[in-house]
Amino acid sequence: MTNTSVLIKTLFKEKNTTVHKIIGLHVLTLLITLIAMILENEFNSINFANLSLVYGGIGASTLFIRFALRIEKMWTSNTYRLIPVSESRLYAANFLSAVASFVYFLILEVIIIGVSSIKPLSTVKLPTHILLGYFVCGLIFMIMLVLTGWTFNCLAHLIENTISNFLPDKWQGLLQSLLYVATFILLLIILSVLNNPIGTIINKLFSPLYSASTPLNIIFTLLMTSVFMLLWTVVLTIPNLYLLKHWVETE
Amino acid sequence: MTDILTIKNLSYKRNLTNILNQLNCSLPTGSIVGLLGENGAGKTTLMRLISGAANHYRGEIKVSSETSPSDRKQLVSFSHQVDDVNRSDRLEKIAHFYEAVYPDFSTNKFQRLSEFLNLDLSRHLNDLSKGNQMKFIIAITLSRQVKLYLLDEPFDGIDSMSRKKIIASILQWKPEDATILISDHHVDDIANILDGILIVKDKRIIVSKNADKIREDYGQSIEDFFESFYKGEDQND
Amino acid sequence: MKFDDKVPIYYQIKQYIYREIIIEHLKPGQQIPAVRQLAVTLTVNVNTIQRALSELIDEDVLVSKRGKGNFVTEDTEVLKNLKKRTVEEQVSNLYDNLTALRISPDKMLTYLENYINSRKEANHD
Repeated sequence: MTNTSVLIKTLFKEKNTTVHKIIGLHVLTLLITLIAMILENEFNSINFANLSLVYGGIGASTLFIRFALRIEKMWTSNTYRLIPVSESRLYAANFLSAVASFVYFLILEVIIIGVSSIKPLSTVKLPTHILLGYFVCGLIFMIMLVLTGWTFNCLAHLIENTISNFLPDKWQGLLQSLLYVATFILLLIILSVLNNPIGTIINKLFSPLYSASTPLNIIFTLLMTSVFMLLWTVVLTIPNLYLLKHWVETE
Repeated sequence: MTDILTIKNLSYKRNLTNILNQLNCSLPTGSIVGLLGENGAGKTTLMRLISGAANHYRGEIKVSSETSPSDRKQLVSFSHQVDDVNRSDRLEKIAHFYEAVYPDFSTNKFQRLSEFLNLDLSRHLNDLSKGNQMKFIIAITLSRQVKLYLLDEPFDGIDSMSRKKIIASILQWKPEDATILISDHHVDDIANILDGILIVKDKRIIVSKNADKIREDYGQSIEDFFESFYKGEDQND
Repeated sequence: MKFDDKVPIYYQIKQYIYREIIIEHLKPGQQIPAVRQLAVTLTVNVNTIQRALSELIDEDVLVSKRGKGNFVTEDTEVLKNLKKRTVEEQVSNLYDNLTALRISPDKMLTYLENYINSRKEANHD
């Protein structure tokens, strides 16, 4: 049997190719923006920092979607499904490598955004331990957010794949569109459940940081939401593993 | 000789269609066997089932003494395991993946096989001709040290020089106690290297015979023997 | 080597080795190439070669020396018989074919003699 940590490492390296492409694009876009601003004599450090943040956001969303596709592709691919490991280990390796690669991406992004926002950041006067707290909790929150998203997407595809086993070929297209609608509705329901905690976080993030209790509040809310998403991930993993083991085959 | 593979009453359905029904067969250890049948007869499906890639079937598939799909994956090397690699990667990079992921992958054997097949490992997979791509797939598949190799249509659309080279590599590199199952829809290319043949038709294995025995008993070439099972049908079309 | 698709391969390999011995491409006492190498050169299955070789060993045409490989026999009696048998097989084919054409044995000799003479002359020209 293949060693699980070796498998995770291999898949991690594979996924990092995508990370490097997106990071490269981010840096390139920043350079072009910088040159354009200087040429037009309109350089503004706050605008520049904001733009860098926006690019980072677009990059993160792209990576999230790319990894979601990659994760589900693995279940129907002979190249990965024939690796001699149990379904649960392959499942764990697939998700852990994606998370690790995403964290790697976030760290690189923090560096890039940090460097491109040096001037505005230097005006922020928060104690280091709170900044560190923000950083760690934000990281945990982001990880749980993408993990829940991927697990959910994975479930939708595994269900679709399983059901398609029981339908004749010409029905496959109809099934797919029905499932996309169903998934979308389900996602809306989950989001509305999540809406309150997320709303609170956003409110707090954008509220002025005057009172001493605010940072702790934010950290607390971030952590609570993360725990809540962790539960979701665990719950969704059970049907995922069952379907993977008994129903979903390679193409 | 003991059997490396035994299949009992195997039935398999996909999208409500019966693909295999109550199929039985076995493969002796250390042999090269041709899996013959028309396109769509279920040759690839049978290989997927043996390899452990398909898990929803009825009946029993036993490789050596293992019956569960994940245990079988350790004992079988299937050419389709190279399906979804990144085709814009260099051959050496793709080989590293297999080296990392399959504990039974022999880098040494892979290097000697690629040399034998004249593969330039610094090239990108998608830059190679179809014949060279297949050579690479064969090199990867045979570099795993296992009991059973499944090669699915290795000669489909391949030029004759590559075909000869691939056949030579199979003869040269097959471990003595390993068995190779090769699927093909025109036997002619490989008839001489086969110990025996299996013919898939009507969702079952309808023939399982030694190749020289066919020549001896029927005075027919393997190709003619195989085609004799389809003669009546062509006229009806 | 070209094989006849309709005849068992192991049988054709035996014939091939007989010929090689008779024309002394393989000399008495000489070692036969390894099984796998023969398989690759002739593009046939290792098991088929093995079957042909073990029948040749049973016929005492080859001698297997443990750990060393297979060798052409040095027994002149066996070699003489082999040559005799192989030639006889060809002659017997000829005989049967001519008999089928209702040629009498005496006539056969005349035909053969004439034919040999005409070939000799053709070679002289």
